[in-house]
Amino acid sequence: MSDGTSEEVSDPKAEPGAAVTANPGGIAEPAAAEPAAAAGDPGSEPPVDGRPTQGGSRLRRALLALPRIVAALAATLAVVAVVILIMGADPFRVAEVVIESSTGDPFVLGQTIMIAGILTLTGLAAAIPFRAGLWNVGAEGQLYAGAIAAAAVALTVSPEMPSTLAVPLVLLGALVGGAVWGLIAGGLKAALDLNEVIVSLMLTFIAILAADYVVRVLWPQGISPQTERIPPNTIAPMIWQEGLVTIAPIVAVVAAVAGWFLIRHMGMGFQIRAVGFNARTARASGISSGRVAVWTFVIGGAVAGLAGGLVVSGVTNSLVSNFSPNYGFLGIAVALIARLEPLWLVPAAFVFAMLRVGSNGLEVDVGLSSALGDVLVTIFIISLLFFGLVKLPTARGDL
Amino acid sequence: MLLTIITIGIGLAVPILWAALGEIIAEQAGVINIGIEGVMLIAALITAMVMSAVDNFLISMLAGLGVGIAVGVILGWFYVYRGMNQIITGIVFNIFALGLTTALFTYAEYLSEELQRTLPDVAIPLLSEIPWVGEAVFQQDVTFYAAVLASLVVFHLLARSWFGLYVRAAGQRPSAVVSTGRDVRRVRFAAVIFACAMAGIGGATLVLSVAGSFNVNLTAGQGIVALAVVVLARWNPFVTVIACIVFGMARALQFQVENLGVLADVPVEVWIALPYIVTIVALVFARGSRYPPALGIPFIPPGKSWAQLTFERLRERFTGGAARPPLEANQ
Repeated sequence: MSDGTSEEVSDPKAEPGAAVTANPGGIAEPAAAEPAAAAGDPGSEPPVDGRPTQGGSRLRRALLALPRIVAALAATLAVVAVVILIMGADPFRVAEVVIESSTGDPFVLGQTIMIAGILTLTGLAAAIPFRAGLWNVGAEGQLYAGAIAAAAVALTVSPEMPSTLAVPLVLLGALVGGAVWGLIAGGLKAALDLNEVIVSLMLTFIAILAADYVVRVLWPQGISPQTERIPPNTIAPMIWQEGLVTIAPIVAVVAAVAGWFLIRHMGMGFQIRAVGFNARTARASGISSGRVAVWTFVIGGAVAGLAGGLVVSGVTNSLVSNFSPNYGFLGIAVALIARLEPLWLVPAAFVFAMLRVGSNGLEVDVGLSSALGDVLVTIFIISLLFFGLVKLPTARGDL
Repeated sequence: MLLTIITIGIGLAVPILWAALGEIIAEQAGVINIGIEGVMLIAALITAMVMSAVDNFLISMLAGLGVGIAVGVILGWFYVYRGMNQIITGIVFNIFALGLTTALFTYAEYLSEELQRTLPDVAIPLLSEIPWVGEAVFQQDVTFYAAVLASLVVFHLLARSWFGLYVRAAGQRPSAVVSTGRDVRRVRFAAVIFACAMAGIGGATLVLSVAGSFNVNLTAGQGIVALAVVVLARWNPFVTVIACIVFGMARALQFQVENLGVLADVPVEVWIALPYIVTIVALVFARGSRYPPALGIPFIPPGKSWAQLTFERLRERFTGGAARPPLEANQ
């Protein structure tokens, strides 16, 4: 019966192949490559990766996971179908409406692409800290902070400034605004070891209220709950006029690639993964977990802020009260679907954007609430977690 | 004026208090249940529905409790038996609950329009006649007194009972529970159900005692505030009562802005944000709190799981393998 305690065992349910290859590498790695990583040399690629990279074992892993993926999908679809039936609609019709009203014509397709861009960025804001076992659940607040900063910059710069200078300035403002908001949570985690989940959630509520204040007092526009419109030279350029698509999706893809490069090929990314694998071992080999906390939250906050900036500049063209329908929280879901891999964020975000835009059609066509989209998505995530398809660092009480 | 704020504040503190008292038990058992926000929200909606259907406080309250227990069984299964990441599962559950209640609410919008009555205040005989304190503290509705009693119960359960001993051991050193022959997961499962039941009552009080009706995102982060209160109070039920009242008062200020004199010029958003700011500041002061060492770490018992054993037995039965000894009694 008893073969010692399993208190420290984080994941004995992993497939044998993955467990054998992943664990020794993950534990031995930090000690071996520590000097190069500590020196922060971006060129020094860690010799051993946490996961097997050879094609064979990857394929094998994928095949081993296949039955569970199928089970998760089947279970999810069944649960969702039952929910839809209870609400008195036909599940097949709902699926049809969702696909139709998210990709059917240029306008909705453009909307889907825009939202996919935003969700990629908020997904990145969640994925990078998650890799270190730090739970940045405040991307929503960082999004608002970025939007406030972007609106403030856009409304203060001179309307005569050339647009090639004004737009980057606005987006830089968004980046800084989000980063500052992330820094509060990450810094409090690093300096005082405050629970980052509670702090980042509280900061979300505060950021939403701060946006209300800016809208109501600083740049009010009549009675409508939004600021004055930002001048035309600060509006991000369109790349597809028919679908009203701005540069946002391009920025998002670039950010995802940069995130991949950071995680895979930079010293900081290596430290992030090391802390995520085993904080104690990482600390013992000289990696500062506080530094990782600060950096992951600053980077995460910055990309979430950028998403907010891209909404203000190009979509709403002003700061609107409560403009985000949970983009930040959906980012968590996107990051989980992508299994915290930055490059997979892009397709994952697109699927979510389809659900989000498509569920607007539900209200009109099927008579279901558009909030059902969130229900659908969360059931899917929960079943992914339930079937162990997403591997996460253990939720520790302390770091 | 201060008296009004304290009186309102105590009223607003009650839902948080219920949720926080439950969370103490869950966290002491090693499970951080961020899903209390969602539990409160779902329980609040069902309570409001039942209340508008039967117009009976007791039945509605029991409905909230029932929802809490039902959700607790599911969440406990997720957290404890499936070993799912507690923080992410909790957060995702909260988004689920917000979506679900918003979707259901579109079918029940009458709930916000028809303003239902809230529980009547009960003045405790002698005590309410104490000049100053009496008016504020002893003229609340019955949920507040019940919550204070519940803090006694939680204290007794945690510090003076066998159940509490196992709960604390499950959060401190699960292997110690194993060595007594108990099942760690069963202890934690019970703790999560208890926590969700209490959060369910919290959601019910939110409707029956505070808001009087349901609306989209009625909880607005109060479940998360309860999480912070637990850390601030260092898992002590009595300190939790005091801490919740402080938070309630921070929330009460936004309804009294016009009476605040010099401070009346401070933007209303600051007053609404005050409880959230207070939460962060409170965490700074509570930074010495020592979390239960096993908090957030799923426990995987040694040996084969019940499902594995059942599967093997079935396989043997159908493939004609040798009969196995009966299932080990899972105490």
